[in-house]
Amino acid sequence: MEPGSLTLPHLDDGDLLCLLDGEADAASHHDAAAHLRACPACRERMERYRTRRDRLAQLLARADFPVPASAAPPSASKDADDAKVIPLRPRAAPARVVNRPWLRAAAVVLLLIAAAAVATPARAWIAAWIGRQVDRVTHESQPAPQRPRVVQTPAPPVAPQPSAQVRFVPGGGELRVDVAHTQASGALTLVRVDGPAASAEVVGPQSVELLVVPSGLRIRNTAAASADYRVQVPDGVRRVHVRIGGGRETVVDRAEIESAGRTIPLAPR
Amino acid sequence: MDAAGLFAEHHPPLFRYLSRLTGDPDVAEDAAQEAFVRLMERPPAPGETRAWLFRVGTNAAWMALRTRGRRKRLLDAAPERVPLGDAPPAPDVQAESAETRARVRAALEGLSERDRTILLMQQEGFRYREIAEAVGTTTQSVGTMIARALTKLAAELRLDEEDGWNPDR
Repeated sequence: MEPGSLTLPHLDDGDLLCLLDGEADAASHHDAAAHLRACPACRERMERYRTRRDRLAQLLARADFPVPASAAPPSASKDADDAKVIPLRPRAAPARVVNRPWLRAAAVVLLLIAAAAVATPARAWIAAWIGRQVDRVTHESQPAPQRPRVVQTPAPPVAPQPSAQVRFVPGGGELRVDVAHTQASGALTLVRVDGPAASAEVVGPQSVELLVVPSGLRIRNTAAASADYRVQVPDGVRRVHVRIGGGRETVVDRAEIESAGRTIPLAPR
Repeated sequence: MDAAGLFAEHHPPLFRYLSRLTGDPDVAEDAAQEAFVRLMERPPAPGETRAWLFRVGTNAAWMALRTRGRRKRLLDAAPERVPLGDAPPAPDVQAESAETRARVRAALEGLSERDRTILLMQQEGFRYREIAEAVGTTTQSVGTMIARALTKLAAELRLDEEDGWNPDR
């Protein structure tokens, strides 16, 4: 411990947690950080809290219940929900379907108009389906077998598009960014954003995939790539763990991102 | 308001938090639904949706647990009134994580309502200001309360022991 720090009182538990969670204001952060540098006992206590917090997060995640698959947004009005009548008797038999060929033909014409506005790949399929319906209707209503011809235009080949941008909500206060390889050049930049959602994007014309995985984000790059990546880290994330090419993990605290963003080079040193 | 978008964004973390808070996925789902219903009836200011949903969900969950507790006490006092056809245990209760879940649950139950809420909101990444507003305390005291709750859980769950905390080892 430095001689000048001997007179400083130890940090209390609340101060340590504020530091750990990036909640200390600038002045107290400066004083507390100075004390920590000089006081191994407080450093050890802070590390103990960090370990407890991280291990608890792991235990909680392991004990979580799965999110119900049937979860759906509630209707706009609770009163409307309350007023819903649940029949206790068997439902009446469904009404008889009225078979009117002219009505079906009119519906088909409307569908044809709608199909014309649809994008090219779907248009061919819809046109073919409608063609079959038109065939059926004309066969039923007009005995003359004048089949309308539907020319199917093959859908143009679609080039695989790399996911240039993704948006997601990280679970809990930790975000992991896993970069598959070190690159020829380029960097990963972490910047802070308001709100709960994170986003990531590839900066540059590279075919790199961004995948959202349970732990956070995976960047599927190659060793020859030279793209830059920009990850917007939301309010709720306290720390970002970055691993490049399976190497050592770099941990970035919220405070570092808040000040000016943090850039991590992806080229091997 | 994009109700479906808000639901997709906020429901999974809200349900996770409420099920950790209550230990009961049914209560958690009901409380989450209640929070979303109120969101559509009286939406909060923009930018406060997430904290608002968690605050309303927390209140709804505690209220449901208290009601359930009263009902259980009544039924315990008159066992002949226990309704038939209780729900069977959920399949996931029988899964491998059941032991971990029970252990974590018991430890969380040992905390006061307020300490549990504060600790679990911290785990969800909320700012101390938002946590303080949710439980009605000062921002300055949140760190101390988290430290106290963590210390208590560390003893229950052996978080300080290298080999003791992890049930998979």
